[in-house]
Amino acid sequence: MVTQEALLEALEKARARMIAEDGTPVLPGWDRKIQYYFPDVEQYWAMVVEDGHPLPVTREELDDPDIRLTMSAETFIGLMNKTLSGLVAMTTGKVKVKASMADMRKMQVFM
Amino acid sequence: MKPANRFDIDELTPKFLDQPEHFNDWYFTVHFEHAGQPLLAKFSITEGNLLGQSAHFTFSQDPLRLEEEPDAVVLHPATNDMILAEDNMPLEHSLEGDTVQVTMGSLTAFCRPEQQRIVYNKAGVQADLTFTPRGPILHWQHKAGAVCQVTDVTRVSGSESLSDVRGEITLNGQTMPVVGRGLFEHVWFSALNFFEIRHMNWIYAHFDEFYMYICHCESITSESRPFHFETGEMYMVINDEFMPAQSLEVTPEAWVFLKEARRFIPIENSVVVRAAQGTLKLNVRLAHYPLILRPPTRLEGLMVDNVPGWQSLFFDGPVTLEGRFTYKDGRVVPLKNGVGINEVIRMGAL
Repeated sequence: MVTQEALLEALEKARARMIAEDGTPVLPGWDRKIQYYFPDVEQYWAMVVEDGHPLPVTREELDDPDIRLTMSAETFIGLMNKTLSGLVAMTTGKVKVKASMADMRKMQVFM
Repeated sequence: MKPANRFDIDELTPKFLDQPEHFNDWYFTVHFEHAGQPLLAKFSITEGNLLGQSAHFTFSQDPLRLEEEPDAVVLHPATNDMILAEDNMPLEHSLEGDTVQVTMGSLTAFCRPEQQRIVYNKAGVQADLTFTPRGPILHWQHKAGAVCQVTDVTRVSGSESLSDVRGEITLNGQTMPVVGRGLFEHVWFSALNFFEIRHMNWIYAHFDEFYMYICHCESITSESRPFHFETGEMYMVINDEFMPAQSLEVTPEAWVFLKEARRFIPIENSVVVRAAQGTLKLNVRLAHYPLILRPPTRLEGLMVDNVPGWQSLFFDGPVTLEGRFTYKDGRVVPLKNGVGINEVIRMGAL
């Protein structure tokens, strides 16, 4: 059973991956609204990225996200802990994605 | 210039381990006969977070099981193939003297510049095989360590050694001496966007007189523009001639319904490879059931560029080959006893 603390920690990891060690954004110039949905815990989370800087995650359902990611909280934690690869998760149907081809590549930074 | 018959140590060592994204494989195959039956064994250590970390043993022995139906030829699964995978195992590696040793799970590769050895030790299956290059090592984009832009994002480097293989494999207590031909490959990359790929064929082939490998990939860029990549090299053993490919074509000639994937795949391809010295023409035919590298998948939940639902296919097809090489001066070399693998990737809308 996934704890809320573990889920929040994983979301923070996703956010942290967008910032390099020197504090600069990994994806400068990138503006996107990312929607996470974890159906097993019935929670929507949002991360807004402005010029590559991720704003704090918020628990909300967005009206018009640029990227939609749907997966179990357990899968998400596996991805953030690198015990599961993004490609494997996607090709085995563990993650549902709606994104553009350009964003598919960018997502590898934080998935 | 003809490449050397040996690897540089650098070509054998793991690459990019300190990078956030990385992939290395050490890939060994052997085609051989036992009790009059053609067999194929494959051992692979794949490292990194781009395609998943896994140690694989595959043993293929069944002939194709084809069934004619009114509107299609159907390929049924092999009943005796063995696929043993150990996933998410740690990679151990070292360099001692001129030997790069790589271990994952039950597989250990000992890679020296002039010879490579793969050892597998698992309950019910043991193998110890030595790979010796038949001639020059072949390289992606004609140079050791060259970085190939395979897709908009994907960068690949690699070396391919078409080898004579000796040793033995023991399955369930039965030991088979191995005298055959196969491939040792080390490929590495630090950038991959698998979802850009639409169509990929990678083929290696051994003949008595000749060997070669080619790779052809069609993909889509982030701006939805088509992107083309091809590379390949050939070596005429009997004339000691190294021939970099100048252009190539892989064209399906017949199709079969792969029941497991619920889709058609080519069962027969024609291949044309042009070099400065002449032109290679091959007929490539699936000989054993495809060795599935990633389960054929319907990506119903994937929407990319507003296309909802995708399917992917990724397999190694054991093939037999027939053909000839025609020199520009008119000489023709018929090529005999062709064996190899056709690795196939397909990504498309459902």
